[in-house]
Amino acid sequence: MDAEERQLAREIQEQIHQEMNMLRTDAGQIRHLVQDAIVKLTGSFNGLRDQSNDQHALVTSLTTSMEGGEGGGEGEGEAQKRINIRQFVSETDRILRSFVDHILLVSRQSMEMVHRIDDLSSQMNEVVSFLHDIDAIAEQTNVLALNARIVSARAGEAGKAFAVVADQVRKLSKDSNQFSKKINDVVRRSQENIESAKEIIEVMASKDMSFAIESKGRVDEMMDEVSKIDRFTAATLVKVSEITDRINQDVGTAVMSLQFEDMVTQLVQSLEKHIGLVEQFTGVVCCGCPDAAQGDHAARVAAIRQVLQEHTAIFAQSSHKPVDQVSMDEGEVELF
Amino acid sequence: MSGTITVNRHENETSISIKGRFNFEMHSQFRTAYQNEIDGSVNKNRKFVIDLVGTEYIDSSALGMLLLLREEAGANEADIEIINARPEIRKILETANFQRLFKIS
Repeated sequence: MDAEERQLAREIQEQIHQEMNMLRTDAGQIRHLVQDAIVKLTGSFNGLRDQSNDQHALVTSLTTSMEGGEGGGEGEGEAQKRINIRQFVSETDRILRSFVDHILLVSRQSMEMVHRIDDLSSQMNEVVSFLHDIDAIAEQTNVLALNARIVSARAGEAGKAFAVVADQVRKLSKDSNQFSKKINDVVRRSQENIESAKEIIEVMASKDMSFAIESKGRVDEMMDEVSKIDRFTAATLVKVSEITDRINQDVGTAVMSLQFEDMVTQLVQSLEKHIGLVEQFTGVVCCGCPDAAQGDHAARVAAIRQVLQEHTAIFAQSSHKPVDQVSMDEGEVELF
Repeated sequence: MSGTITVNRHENETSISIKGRFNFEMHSQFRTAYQNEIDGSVNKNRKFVIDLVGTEYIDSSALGMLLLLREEAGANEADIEIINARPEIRKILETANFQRLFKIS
């Protein structure tokens, strides 16, 4: 091998070396780009999964609070005591009911009071009829006194004292009549008072019930509406929950797919290794084997063949593919 | 303007039929309709039938009278049936929860 040949071989080797270095740099860059991208993707997918879990928790708490309302659960701790629309409506219904009960109680007691007052009134009437009896007795007494006066006048002097008694009896009869009139007057005024008391009670006892019917109807309508809204919300929450589950599954698949970083790294490493082997091989071939450099043509060929055989053997050993997979769908990949 | 009350007495049953407006003004008529049966207390098991077929209107005082009848006829032992109520009156009776205290048919 002459000097010119050696110079040419050195230049070729130099060129190959430069190109190989470029390949190595590119391979390294690929590895870094992929690693950077993987870190960011993993972070963003994990964030997505966290947010989707938060969303799932929110939906679950919403569903639980709705179910809690349906049972009207009491004594389940302060957290469970949040008032929802359903509870509000049923509370309104309860208040309306107690209002109606109260009106009924007032009416019933008023009617009982009216009965007592009616009894009182008829007893007053009895008093009036007794007064008539007293009047009749007074009238008879008056007539008797008058007769006694006439008889005493006939008796002359002897009857004078008797005439005084007869006058007294007549006066008593008139007094009795006057008392009877006064009592009658009081009874009449009492009857008037009783009538006005009854009027007051009538106002108290007589309530039109249509307000209760209308309010009840409105409460029932509201209850129906709330039930409809509840059913719709529950159905929507179930759908949202399903979507969240699917998002979680998709995120899982995406994170799993990021395993390809491993394969890319292995492929790049293999690439770098083979760049080294090629460099070494070309170095030996171009510069000739130091042992055979001084030898003749046949000896050089033999030496180069020797190097080729060694290289072929090394290549055969390391030629198996570091990554067999062609697509990400193949094979089982563990999550990292 | 108030209603009128007709009473029909059978062996063990008193039927009280109310026509027109059943309101406060009916109180003494209504009381008279059942008072004798209860005061006599001979027929402890007497049944009362309140016929509302001709009743056009009912207010809370009428409900109070019915409650009072129930109490005076033996409260929980009382046997009182309210019949022939028209829909709007039936609704009032139901809102007042009368179906728990009376037979309504």
